[in-house]
Amino acid sequence: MIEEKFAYGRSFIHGLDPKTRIIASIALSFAAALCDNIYIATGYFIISIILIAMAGLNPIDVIHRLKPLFWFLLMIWIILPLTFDGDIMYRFHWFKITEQGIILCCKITIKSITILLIFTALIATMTVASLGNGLHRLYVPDKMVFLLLMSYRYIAVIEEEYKRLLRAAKFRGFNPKTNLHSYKTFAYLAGMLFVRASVPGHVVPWIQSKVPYS
Amino acid sequence: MKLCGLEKILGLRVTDNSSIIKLEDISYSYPGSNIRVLDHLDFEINKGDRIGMMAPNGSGKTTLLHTIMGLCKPESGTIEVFGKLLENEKDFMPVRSKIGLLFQDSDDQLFCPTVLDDVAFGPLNLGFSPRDAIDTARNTLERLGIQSLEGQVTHRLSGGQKRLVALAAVLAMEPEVLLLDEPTAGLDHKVKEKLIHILNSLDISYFVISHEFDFAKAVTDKIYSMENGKILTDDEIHIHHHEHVHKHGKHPHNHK
Repeated sequence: MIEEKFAYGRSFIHGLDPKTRIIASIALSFAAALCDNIYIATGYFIISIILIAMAGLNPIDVIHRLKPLFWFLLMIWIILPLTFDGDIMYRFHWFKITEQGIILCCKITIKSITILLIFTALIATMTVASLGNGLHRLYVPDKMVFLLLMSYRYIAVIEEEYKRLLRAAKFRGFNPKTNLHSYKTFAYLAGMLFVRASVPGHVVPWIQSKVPYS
Repeated sequence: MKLCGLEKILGLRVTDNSSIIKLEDISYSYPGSNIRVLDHLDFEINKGDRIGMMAPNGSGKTTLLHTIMGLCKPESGTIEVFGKLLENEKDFMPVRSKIGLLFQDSDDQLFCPTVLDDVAFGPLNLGFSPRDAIDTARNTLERLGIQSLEGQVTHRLSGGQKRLVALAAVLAMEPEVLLLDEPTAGLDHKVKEKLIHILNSLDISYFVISHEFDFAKAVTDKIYSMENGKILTDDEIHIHHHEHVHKHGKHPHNHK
């Protein structure tokens, strides 16, 4: 089951209508993404921090959520200042860091963190079922909503199955290395995942046991 | 040494009391739960032991096996396997290939396309050459009398066949101890008989979790139970088969 850690709470944001939250998050994200001025972007960043505080989310948990983004930003910070054309701020042999490169990195960092914080505060604070309901009320085609909900359920099932099969392999002494046996094993695991996902009799009751029907 | 040879010739079970698995003061609760599934539990499997475990669902039997295999990290206590203290994933990794765990659901255990691939998987992980791994797999299948299944697709096998193939996959690694989690669940009488025969012919220690008294009695020397996260050994419990006649048996009645 995918964890919906932030979905349950009693904050003002948790009490807002899903429809309002979806519209607000899309509008704010577009505004943050399209603004070119770094000061305005910082303003949106402050708004996103205020939203996180209003949602009453644990800052450490939020930072954990942002971890994959930080790796992406690290890569940007390593590559962009050295490769972007502009006024040279610092030079060391062949390496040169440009002012425009640094400013662009700052903009990307602020905007991407802002957008993720907005989505964390407004979207991650509702269950996927509420999100589906909100999208339906916003006249998103039913098939799209259904696809979203089913993907969410199936990703959890596939993840669970994969972990189970990998555990079975490890219990039989499998230690992944860069050799043909390891590649074949991962191919077998992936193949078996597809086989098991295609057997409705196996997967559907499992999903049903996880979905609260009322 | 000579005595051991004589015992083998006479068909006696060699019992040397060196400890294979030793759990001391183990406590474990699942994340987000306050209930202790294992509560200051002590457990030991010695060489030559054939132990059965009968306990209600949810008493922590499978959790105990997962703790031995290093899947559940205990909150307290120590796990010693083959005299070595196991604390982290690195410690557990080499030990796992010497402990054969038969899963409750064979579908969770078999993932290779054919039976032969699956049985040869363990030996390959042990460093056997592909040819030796295939030979070992064929020998194991033959030993269990299921050599006819070698070319079959694993997910198309019947429940009983899957269980036997899963056992073959475990035995092909020549483990020093076997942990069997409800090996007879959902099997018919014929496969159960076969399983009893196979287990009785093994000369390694094993620990069997089962809900079936007849099966547990047929393959083990002692039966333990579990209650409140602790193991109850022979001295405390006497699991036995009980039949009786009632004067008014056809009328509904309660037992006290």
